[in-house]
Amino acid sequence: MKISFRITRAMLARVHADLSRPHAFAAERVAFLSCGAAALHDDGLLLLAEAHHPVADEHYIDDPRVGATIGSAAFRTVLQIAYNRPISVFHIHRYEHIGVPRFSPIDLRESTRFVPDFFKVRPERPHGVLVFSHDALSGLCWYPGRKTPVPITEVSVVGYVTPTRWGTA
Amino acid sequence: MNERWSRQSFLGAESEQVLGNAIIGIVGLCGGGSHIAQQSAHVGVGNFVCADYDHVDESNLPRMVGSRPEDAKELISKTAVIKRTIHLVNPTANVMLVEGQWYAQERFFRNCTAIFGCVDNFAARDELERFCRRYLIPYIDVGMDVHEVSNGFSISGQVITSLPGGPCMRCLGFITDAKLAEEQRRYGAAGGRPQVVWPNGVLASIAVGQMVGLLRPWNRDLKPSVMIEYDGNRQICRESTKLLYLADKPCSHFSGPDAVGDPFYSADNNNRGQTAISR
Amino acid sequence: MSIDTAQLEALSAVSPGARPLVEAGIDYVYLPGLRVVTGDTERVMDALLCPMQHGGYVTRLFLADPISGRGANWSEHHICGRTWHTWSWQGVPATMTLVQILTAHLKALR
Repeated sequence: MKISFRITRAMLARVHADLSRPHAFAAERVAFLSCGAAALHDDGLLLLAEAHHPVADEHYIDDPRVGATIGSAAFRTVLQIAYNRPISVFHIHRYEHIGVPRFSPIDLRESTRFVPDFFKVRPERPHGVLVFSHDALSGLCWYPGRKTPVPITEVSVVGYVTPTRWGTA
Repeated sequence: MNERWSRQSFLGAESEQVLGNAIIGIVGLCGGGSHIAQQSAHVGVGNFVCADYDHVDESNLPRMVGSRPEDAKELISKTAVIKRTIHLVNPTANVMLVEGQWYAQERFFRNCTAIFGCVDNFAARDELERFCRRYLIPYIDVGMDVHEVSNGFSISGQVITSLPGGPCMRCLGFITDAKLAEEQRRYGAAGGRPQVVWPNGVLASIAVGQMVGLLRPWNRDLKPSVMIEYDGNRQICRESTKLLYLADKPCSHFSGPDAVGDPFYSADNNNRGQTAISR
Repeated sequence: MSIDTAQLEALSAVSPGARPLVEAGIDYVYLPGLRVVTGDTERVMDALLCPMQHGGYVTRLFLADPISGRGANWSEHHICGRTWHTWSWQGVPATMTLVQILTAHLKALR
């Protein structure tokens, strides 16, 4: 299945601004994107970034073993949004380099644990995870009914002064 | 770089690939749309989705680029003429034709890199812009008009580039409920509106430039104007003064819940080409 | 305008699953599986109720399919990512409740 992801340049800038903010103890920040979804003519899936949902400072857990750990309150907040509105939820974080980012083994292990929870409130929509670098992003999408995630194959940033198709993992 | 593209090498080493992979939607294939199709093919766009419900007639020949007298005699569809025009320039271009209303095959338009609207009424423009905002697609609207004034006639036109998040045609006051209502009231009474090839050409060229600027900006500070107005009597193009009043105000018309994506999306429906359900 | 919660609840009692949608600043209520009675025939189809000014109409009801033999000047509209059909029927005021607006439009098709 071909999966395309679109985000406006303005929202991308907001995402990067948020992920760049320092935290009292977490080495990096994470957040969520709510996305619209639509079918493409070739049985593909189109994901559209709708809103950026930063994780509140107090929802981080002090865990020096990893860059960032968020608690159940952070997930409850975004799950409530998905419960109230038909959206897809994508967890996001960033690696501090340029070039196409790849999910680490920890990313993959943790994603497999929390993404299924998104289907409990919004089972008919795809959900997943995105990892950004400073000039690219990669994504994995869990599609309803499928156990293994599908890579996002095409990324577009919409707006002026932008390459429109970014690289993906 | 292929010698073919050597004169547009300033668009960058990747421009051939970027433009070749771009999917351009064109709704309305006569006055403005025919120019846009031809120029886009010339510049290297590799994929087209073109929609028009009409066939060529005599009154189209003075302004539909690529049309021939025999097309009017044989009532050839405008989509077929545009496909021929594109393939004359780029025989390998993928050209998907929608002979009818564009939204009958709207799933194909969802994958477009940009969509040009070359239609002749506000309701159609409104529908196209709403669609493009929903699927985060840059929408470039082109239109011209000829109206009678005290000392003769005045030719005017505009190119509006509606980018998701940026000012929309409602922000610009170009589409208003009053205009839509008036148009609805006059439904069926409009008749053929004056159209001539050279303003269409000017406006279409600006529109194609906007599109190329989105895909392969040739200047780091490139930020083409959202609305360009054409004075066809003085042959002047200028940025609309309406933009002064918008500054960096976010668009309030296309934000909030359900603003993007298919609000009726369900994974069950992903593979079915249905619209609203009737049973 | 945004859809009044109490009115939406009342409308949901008549048309289960009713939910509000907004596009280009215009409010709609999506009515999945609305029962539309015309003469002796009952059809079930999705509908979109617009309880405010829409293209020169004070309020409007859009249906998934046109109904032949009922209404005049049917037209197609692409709203919220779907194609809808409506007929020329003016004068159902927006000051009525949502249920009243819907009932008035449906009455025109009976």
